[in-house]
Amino acid sequence: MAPRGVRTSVNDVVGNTTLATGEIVAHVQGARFDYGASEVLKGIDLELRAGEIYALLGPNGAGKTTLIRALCGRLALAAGSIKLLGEDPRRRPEVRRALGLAPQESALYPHLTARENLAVFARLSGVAASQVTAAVERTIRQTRLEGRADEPVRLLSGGYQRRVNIGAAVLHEPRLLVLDEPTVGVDVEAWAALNELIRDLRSGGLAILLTTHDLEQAQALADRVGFLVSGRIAAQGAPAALLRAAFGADREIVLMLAAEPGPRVVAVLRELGLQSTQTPAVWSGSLAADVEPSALAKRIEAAGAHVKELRIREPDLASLFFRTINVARPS
Amino acid sequence: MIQTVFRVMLLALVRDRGALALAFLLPPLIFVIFATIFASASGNELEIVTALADEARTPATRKLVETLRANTTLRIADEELSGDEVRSRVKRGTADVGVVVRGDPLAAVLASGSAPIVVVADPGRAIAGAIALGQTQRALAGLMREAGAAPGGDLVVFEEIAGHTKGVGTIAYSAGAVAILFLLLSAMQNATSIIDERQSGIVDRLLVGPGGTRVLVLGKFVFLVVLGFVQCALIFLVAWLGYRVDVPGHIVPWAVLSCAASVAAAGLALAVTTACRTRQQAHTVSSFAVLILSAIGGSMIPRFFMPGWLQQLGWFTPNAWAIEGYHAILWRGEPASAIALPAAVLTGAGALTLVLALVTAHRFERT
Repeated sequence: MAPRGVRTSVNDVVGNTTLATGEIVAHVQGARFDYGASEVLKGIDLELRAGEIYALLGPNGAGKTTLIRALCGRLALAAGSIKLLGEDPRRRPEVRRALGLAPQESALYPHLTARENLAVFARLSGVAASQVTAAVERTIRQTRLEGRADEPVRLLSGGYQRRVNIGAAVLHEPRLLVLDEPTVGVDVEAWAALNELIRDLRSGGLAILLTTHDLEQAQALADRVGFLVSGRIAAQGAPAALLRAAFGADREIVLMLAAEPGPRVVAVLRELGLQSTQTPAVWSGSLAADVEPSALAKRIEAAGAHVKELRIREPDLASLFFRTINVARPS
Repeated sequence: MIQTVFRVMLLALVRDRGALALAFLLPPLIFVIFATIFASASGNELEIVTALADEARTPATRKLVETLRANTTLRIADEELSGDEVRSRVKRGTADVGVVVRGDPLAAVLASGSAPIVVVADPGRAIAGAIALGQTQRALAGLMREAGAAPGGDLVVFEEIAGHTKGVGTIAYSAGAVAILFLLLSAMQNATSIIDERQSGIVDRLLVGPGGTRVLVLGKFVFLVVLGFVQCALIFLVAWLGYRVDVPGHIVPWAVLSCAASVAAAGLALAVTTACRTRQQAHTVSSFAVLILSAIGGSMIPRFFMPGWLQQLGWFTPNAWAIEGYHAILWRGEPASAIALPAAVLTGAGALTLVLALVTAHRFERT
């Protein structure tokens, strides 16, 4: 069924100007949202730009899903604004057509083939009937589904299902693609292939908002990352810049004690700038370039603890993630 | 290990309120409905709507009529009717049975071959006819005893309303009853796909599209109506080919009524499923709805068996209206206009529940 007011292309709604890389596609400013008495978004500011992957990272319950829903125009903000191509997606719903959403689950009809699914979602995304075949064929090529397109989705591997899932979100040539956990549950080979696909989509000029718990994927793909903790963006920027700012030339240290430390040892650990983790006997922090790890271990043992293991590594996005959430989380 | 599996099953049941209700609340509830029906059918509560005509108007027939009016099983309206009016009412279904007193049972025997009292019944309600016949014979026996006359078996005759093949009324009734029952079952089953679509994220995806949930609900509604119509067609095709129910002779009103019944079932199913959060919840609610609507609405037991209050309650179900409409055209041979009210009620109910489904689904867009 053709929904009323369907345009043939997203260009009819948002204009056919190709956005230059770096141009702002979505702008979130001071976004606040409450679920009853609970404040879920506490003043979010972020920009999503054409040809850029922005990885939104954060623990469960941080507000990622709420932010995506607000971006889709489903939620009325308590304060602040969200602009998609300069328009409020709630006041001007047609601008939502500039957005493609690939949900975390495989949001497809399992008994239909990949091609049939794409045709269904092309129509439901507002692609004109006369342009559906062309859009489907283009997407099959884009997502490298040739050869598997006529198999029922339920018979495809997890990796291929994810490709169809992403394909269904880009059929109508959106300007912003929201990917919610696009690689969860897939094997290493499929993981690499999906990352390649996401890079290709970025090269095509799409702005991509990637929400993921897969920090390795975020590190591999993201041009910028944002750490969403308890409804606030605790830090955002290019990963390398954030790592430099957080760690400088320091290395990351993970210390495993034989037992949960007593108050005296804890005092020493804190004095050394280490932070506790969820496991009481494991502490982490950064080690200045001029400090010898053995000297550090000796000092801790002198306080009465037995150091079982001391790991030194170059800081990565995971280190930054844990440091950021530890600092930003209300105690 | 068997004990472990048993425990898992038990905990799953105990912690699922829907499953608990389905397991322990629905069976006694359905039993209560059936018990109410059967208690009324076998006890003093049975009320068979009876049209009565006293064409003889002698002292003896007046006494007989008084006795029949005093009978609590036969609900006789206090009005004077002719024999033709009685037959017409039975044929139209506004009366379950009719009693026509043509002559004085104590007077000389009527013209050869005609008994003074006729019990008129619709073969589709044969049991009601048999009960009325028994009650009339008992009243007559009392009258004869008082008058000191010998009771005669030939004084009451049974007359089935003419014009249709014997047994077709029952088939027409059951075809209508089964059709609406399966329309509801099938619509509920198919409409639950909206819950899968919500859980899989398909609805989230559609919400950024131009149609939103409105397209999803309306698309499903049209599908369920078409599916329901095809199911009706299959049931009545068998009724026509196998049991000589004259569907082709009433094809237009039949089609209109089947479409209206499908609309009602589709709307109701979507209203139920859009309000449910999980497939399990939808299963529980729809099982309740279909079984109770069908029991009260006459899909399981003819409504004339039910006490008056339950018969009245039945008009709040799509089953009663669909059955009434099919029976009117396919058995009683009434004109197409007879389905106007049932079709209007069913379509109205379908439209109302569809709006409810659209509103409920739209609410999801804002969460």
